[in-house]
Amino acid sequence: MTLPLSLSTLPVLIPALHLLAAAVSASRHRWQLAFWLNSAALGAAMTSCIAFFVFGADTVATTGWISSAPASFLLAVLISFVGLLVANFSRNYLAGEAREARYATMLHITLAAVSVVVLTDNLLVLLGGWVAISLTLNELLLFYPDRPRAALAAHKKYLFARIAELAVFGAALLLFLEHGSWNISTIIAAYPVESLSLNQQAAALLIALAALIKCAQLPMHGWLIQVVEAPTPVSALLHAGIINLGGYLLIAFGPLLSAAAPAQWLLLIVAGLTTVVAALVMATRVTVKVKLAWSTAAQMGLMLVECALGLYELALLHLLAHACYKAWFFLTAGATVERYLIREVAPASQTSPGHWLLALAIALPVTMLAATLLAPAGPLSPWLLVAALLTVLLAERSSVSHKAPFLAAAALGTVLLTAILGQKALVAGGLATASTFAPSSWLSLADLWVAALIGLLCLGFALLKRAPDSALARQVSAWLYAGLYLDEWATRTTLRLWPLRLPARLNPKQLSPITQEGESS
Amino acid sequence: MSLADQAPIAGADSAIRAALKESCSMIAPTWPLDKLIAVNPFWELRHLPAEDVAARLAALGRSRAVAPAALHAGNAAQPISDQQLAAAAGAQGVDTSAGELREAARRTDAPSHWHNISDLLDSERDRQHEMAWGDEIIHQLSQFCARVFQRGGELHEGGEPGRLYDLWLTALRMDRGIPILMGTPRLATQFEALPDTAEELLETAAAELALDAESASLYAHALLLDINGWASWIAYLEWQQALAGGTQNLMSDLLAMRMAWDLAIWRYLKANDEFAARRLDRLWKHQLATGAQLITEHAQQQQADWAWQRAAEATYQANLHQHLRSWVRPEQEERPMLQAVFCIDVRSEVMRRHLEAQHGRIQTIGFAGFFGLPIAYQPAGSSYQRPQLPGLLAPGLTVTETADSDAPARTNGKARWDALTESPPAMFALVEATGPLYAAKLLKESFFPAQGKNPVNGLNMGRSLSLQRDGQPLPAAERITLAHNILSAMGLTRQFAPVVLLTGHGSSSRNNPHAAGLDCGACGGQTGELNARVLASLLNDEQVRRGLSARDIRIPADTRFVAALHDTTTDEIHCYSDEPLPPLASRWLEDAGAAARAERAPSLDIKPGSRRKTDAAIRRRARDWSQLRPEWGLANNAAFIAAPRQRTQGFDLQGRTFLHDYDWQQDPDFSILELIMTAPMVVAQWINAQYNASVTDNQRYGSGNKLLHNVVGGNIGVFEGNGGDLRIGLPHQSVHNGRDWMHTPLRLSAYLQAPAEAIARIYKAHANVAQLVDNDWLYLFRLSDTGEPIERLYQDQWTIVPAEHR
Repeated sequence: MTLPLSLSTLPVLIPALHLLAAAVSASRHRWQLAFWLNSAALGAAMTSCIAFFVFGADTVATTGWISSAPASFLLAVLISFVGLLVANFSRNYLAGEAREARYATMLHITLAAVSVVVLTDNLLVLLGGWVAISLTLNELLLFYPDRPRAALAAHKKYLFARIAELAVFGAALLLFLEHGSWNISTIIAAYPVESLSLNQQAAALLIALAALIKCAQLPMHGWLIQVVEAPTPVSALLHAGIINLGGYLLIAFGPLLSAAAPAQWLLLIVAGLTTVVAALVMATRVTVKVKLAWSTAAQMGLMLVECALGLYELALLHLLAHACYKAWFFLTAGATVERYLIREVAPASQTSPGHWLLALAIALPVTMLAATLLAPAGPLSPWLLVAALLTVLLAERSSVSHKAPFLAAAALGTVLLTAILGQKALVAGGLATASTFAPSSWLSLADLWVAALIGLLCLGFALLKRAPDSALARQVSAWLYAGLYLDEWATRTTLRLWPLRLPARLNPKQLSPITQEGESS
Repeated sequence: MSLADQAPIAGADSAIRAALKESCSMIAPTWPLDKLIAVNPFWELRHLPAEDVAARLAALGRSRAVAPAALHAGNAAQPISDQQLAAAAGAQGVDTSAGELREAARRTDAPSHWHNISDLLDSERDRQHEMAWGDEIIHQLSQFCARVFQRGGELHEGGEPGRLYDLWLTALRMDRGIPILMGTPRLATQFEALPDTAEELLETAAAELALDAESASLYAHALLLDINGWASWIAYLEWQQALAGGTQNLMSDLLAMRMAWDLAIWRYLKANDEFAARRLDRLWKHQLATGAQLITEHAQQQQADWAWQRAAEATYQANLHQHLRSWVRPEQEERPMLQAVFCIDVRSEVMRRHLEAQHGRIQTIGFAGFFGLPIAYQPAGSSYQRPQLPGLLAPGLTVTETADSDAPARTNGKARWDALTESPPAMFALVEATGPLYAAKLLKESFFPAQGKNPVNGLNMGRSLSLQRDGQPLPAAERITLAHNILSAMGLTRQFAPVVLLTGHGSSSRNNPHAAGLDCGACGGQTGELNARVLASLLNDEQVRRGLSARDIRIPADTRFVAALHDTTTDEIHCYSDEPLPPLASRWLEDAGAAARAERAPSLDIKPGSRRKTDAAIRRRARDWSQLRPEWGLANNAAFIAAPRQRTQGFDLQGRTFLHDYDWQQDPDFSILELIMTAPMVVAQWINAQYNASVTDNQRYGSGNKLLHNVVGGNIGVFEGNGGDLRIGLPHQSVHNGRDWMHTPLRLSAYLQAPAEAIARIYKAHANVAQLVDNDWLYLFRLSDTGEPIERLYQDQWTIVPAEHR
């Protein structure tokens, strides 16, 4: 058939077109041409994605080169979509910047590299793409190289990225030794197995470690918070299209991970704690972009936890949805004052513990009923978060001047619940792998752990909200505001282990000649 | 702003105390983003000569209050002749030739600067392995301030309003991060040892750092400049307190906090590195002895800058004077067909010129855009209040809607949704539910953007407004008096046209934290729509008109006042009226708008093309969420003219002048002149100084790069990137197009057409005005009724400005 033959070249076109956009951007600011090339890349991504799901994986996938995982094609669409919009946004946003052309080049190379990472079937190519991303991203993060905090953040990011790359390389090597192939599809086809060898366990651990680092989980999160020193669209791209590659890695190696309890527990502990801590830190922060960055660390934590629980379809849904969500909030960070005004005009009405208990008493059974009816297999703990959403929605539905009817909030809650269930089913259908892993014996323990973490999150929230002036709340809030001082340790250690020449402060003061004399004496 | 009369600092030298207190009153306020108005950042230093202030700020804080000579020397838009340069040097009192001045413009060397203790420590620190103290101190103070001020500045902790210093010290002592980051584990003991109150701290530090009154004044000012952004925010809080009749001692607390840092690291060094401490001690004592000399050195260094500054101003004035001299008072005209009152904003000048060009019987009037209404807007069903008047004043009246609407329900929905996105338990599942929604929003905003709307402006929905005091409708007699005073101040007491447009102004931009800065400053950083609508309904009221005619203002029955809004981004005029305008008037407005857009298009990098293309490009710009330069605001403002419009009519003033209509013959007791000189003229000077300072020192008096802006506390201000000090003033992109400055910093030239005695009397009666004039913050000129001569008032002397300046 000629159709599949021609289609199989499509996935290659996606990074190629982004790369071409990079090439045209290099010579002059040809944003318009780059726009059409990016649009073509998105078109190619969407066509391959449709071909994948309609005509079958074989029409677009090529063993050894092009991935045959559904997640790859969904992510390729996402990357090109976000890339197109971010580049389109940058066009006017960056106008007049001295290094605009360089920015455009690096942006488009990054897009090409991300597409390569998600589309390739070859682990070494993936690793190459991964390295390329961190190198071009470093350029974008240091778009203003004379900003000390940007330099420090990029430096930390650079070191963490190298460690993550080593981890991926180590995992790839171990898996090659085990399976004799660099191809992801060949490797994962070998699973499930009876029990994992030491090499396989180690590979799974390394993959989990790489994912944790890539997703900026505590205590390697500092750079993510500090790179708001880069232009807004860089943040949007980072948070929507790059930070989540750790999740992609886990989804791609899902069959291996599902059998590797140590790796799963590493994720459950580190990412689980990050989810809780980062979400609460977010609530204490006061600048819009830093809030968003903490929120990303938390959301990525949950995505990794979902992977560790074997809920790959939910993790993928989370990845895709969060990308659009966070791209929107970063790109509209300038509208913060408008959001502030809306909340000032309609402040939330006072709520009593009774309000909350009533809301919880309705939300929890409804969610759990929906969960057991519609998604009977798998852990229950993630549904607690849905119950939490509905509880907040019902409890805090009114402003001081407008009492919202319960039914309106309940209706919205139903829409949201349906949206989650519907999309989850859709993604699960696409992945066609979701329920193949039966819950193993330890899963209930993992489920309990996650449920406990969610309980902790809700308790922390309740403490900060209901008794903000208590001694405990003040203490907790101070620690949270400081991010538990984790990043200070990381920064200090980084500078000790691998010093960095920080750029001089902007406009340094001039020491008087006499004083300088005094100094040298 | 004056400090609270606080409890005397026991035992401290009263001279030092006075010096510290004085330094605490040297920082001008900054308004929050949702009420952003232009402020002269040197307002609290107006009692000092501009040149002394510039030298002081340069020496103490490495700030620039005067443009570098190179800026004017390289300004192709306004070349400066050798004669102008030589004349300026003469006026400056320096003996420098034009050639030497041109040479000086290429110089980049700078004298040395004042060093705080932290600066001295940083100059010796191993910067490759260690963070700078200066950065870390600002980071700590700034993050702390952001946290405590996020709820609009109320210092509530533990239910009790606390002292800023106390809260800070508690937070600092709890902080485990700084010793870790700076690699100074024993620093914590120094935090413990800091005095427990601000007063004690200042006293202790003054003693340990060997300050005397003079050095204390310099040191305190230098410390506050170091954290100038938050100092400005605190100045705002104190300003609001003063308007409400209260006082607070926040600024001295901030000073104490910053000084405590210096004291702690100084003590730390003493305790841990005796050798370095001795050296530091020597450097510090030397600086204390020579601080004043630093300022002198900077003053000398800046002589050339000031000569260039004067020359640039004289060059601009010379061109303007040519226009202003060639004037003959026109004949009495017939009744106008259309009158339009505009704000004095410089952007109105362009629109007025083009509107007048449409027909000989169109009259435009310039008046402060809040139309003299001392109001605050409170949307019906909300406790939120928004002042709609200049920041110098406090509102006395409230405007609110009379009819109910579904606005509270809609706003509640939006507000709760927004809260949901920031709620830790809810946000996870919310993300999973709403991915497609946000994908759709991204697409819409990228390719089909809608017109932006301030959410509070959107609440009114055209509903009728009621003017109230303390919740009660304003009695008829007071409404009549209000209407009478406003019309008199406008000079609009006879010859009413059938249609009188009351045109407020506002901007339209998206995704712009500084959007309010483009709106009407006279309306407190809001659009003038509400003020225009309130005034129009007041003047269309039959009862008010009857009352006015009893007081000799007879408004013809066929005259209709129409509220309108000039969108300064798109140069469109929207009218708010139940009946449409006469078709002819509508066409005039449309054509004037198109002409104004065509005039502005080149400055917005829009290629010349058909009217339709230009209009579309400008409208697209206003809706573009990625556009950082929707319009140029009041960039390039340079002059203020209070005179009858005929005086300036027909000249292209290039959108650089504030035009206030004023006819002294209608103002027998000169009360209107007094109002103009003390309110609109001062406001214009604030705007002018803000634009100037945002160009000369965008680091300290401008808010830097919009690409990096990060809104703090919802409305307080912005950080540039992750942290650092709070940023005040205009963003770099608001005054720079990526190649050139779009604002040439020229001190405001104010022109008043009024008798010399009246001007001089008001100038003497108001210290603010006299200080601005005599300390070289603005030029005050008098226009005579006959065109000649133009005179300048300066330090109590009138001098005739020679006609042939070039």
